[in-house]
Amino acid sequence: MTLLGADFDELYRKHAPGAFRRARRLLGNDADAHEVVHDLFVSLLESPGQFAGRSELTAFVYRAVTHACLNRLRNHRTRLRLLQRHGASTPGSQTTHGTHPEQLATLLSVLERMPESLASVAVYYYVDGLTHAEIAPLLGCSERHVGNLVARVNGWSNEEQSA
Amino acid sequence: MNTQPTVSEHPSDFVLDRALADELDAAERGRLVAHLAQCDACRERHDGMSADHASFLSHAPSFQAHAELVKELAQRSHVAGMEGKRAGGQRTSRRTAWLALSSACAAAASLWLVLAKPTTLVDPQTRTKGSAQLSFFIKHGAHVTRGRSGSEVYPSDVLRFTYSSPEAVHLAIFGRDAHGATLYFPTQGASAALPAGVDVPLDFGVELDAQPGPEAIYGVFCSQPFDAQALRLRLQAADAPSAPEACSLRVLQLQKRVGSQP
Repeated sequence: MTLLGADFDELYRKHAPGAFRRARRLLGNDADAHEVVHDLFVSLLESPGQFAGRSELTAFVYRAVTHACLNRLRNHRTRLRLLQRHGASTPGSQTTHGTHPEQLATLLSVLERMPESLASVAVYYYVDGLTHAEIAPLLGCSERHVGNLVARVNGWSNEEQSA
Repeated sequence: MNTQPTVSEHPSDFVLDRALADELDAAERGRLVAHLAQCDACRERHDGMSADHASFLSHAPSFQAHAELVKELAQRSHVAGMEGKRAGGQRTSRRTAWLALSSACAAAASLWLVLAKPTTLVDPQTRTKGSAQLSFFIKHGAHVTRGRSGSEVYPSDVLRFTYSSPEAVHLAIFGRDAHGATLYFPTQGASAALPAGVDVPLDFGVELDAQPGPEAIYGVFCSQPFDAQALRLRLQAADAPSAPEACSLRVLQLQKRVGSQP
């Protein structure tokens, strides 16, 4: 499947809601999530060739949203704003997607420092709850390698905590 | 991609997303349906995600609006420049026909756009969910993004506005900075009568000038026509707008910045 000639409105209706849900889960607020979704689909409209039909669009959108969100988390000013928003939430309260603000703040601070190759795995494994078999095609590697990456994520986290 | 769990395994969100996107093959779908039939928790997750999808599509801006905007921007360089009228003589921000932006437009400002809190001069009861909304896009170079609270904008950026309203509405949009108040839309006289719609693009843009400092954009929505120029004069003389009775107000706070986007 390629996007050339595709019905973009249908594409948007099928994939934008899920992209928004994941972006909001990672970024913690609707405004940033809407921007990620908007940028993704405008990018697809302008450069449909970036999706080469190597897999289903859901997998492509998962990768694109993960990449876009991690970039935002690494942006210092964006991260500060997100942390301030989370910090301003009532302690103990839950966001609309069921994640505690303090958990999100911790997650944001960890992902911001984590090497990108590991951060993507951490998102898929710990945030999305995907299995090794589901992560492997998203990363383009074997299940065994996913297992190794998850182990490296854990090792990196332990080193961070002990540092 | 056969990552579908067996009937006894709980499907991940990825599987449910693929199901909602009609990407599962017959065998995968059969296993999912069988699992959902026997697992209340997963069925609730699936139904919840399905409801979230419907809710997103009913409230979020349509992709058609995005696509039309990008298409219009792509056509920009093929149209002769045409600067719009300025209502505030001291101002350098420019109202311009959206499809007629000159690539040679020079003076611009950098702004911060922040969705502001409602002013105290407008009845908060008018700000109910589902009421009229003012939104905007930012064009920076060749890139278009949806504006939001905290968006950074830079010299020569162009703002384009859209509105959403569940019913026909009368609208005027103003800008106010240290130099005074400007009527951006419509350019003069009474408010503009607009039909109901979601994320309806308004046929003008504002190119930002190079004057640093704060600026506010006010969108006044009323059920009846009102004198937009008179309201601009009131805005000129006040720190905050006094919207007509039973009208609703949407405010975008802008902080102009100097320089180019890092």
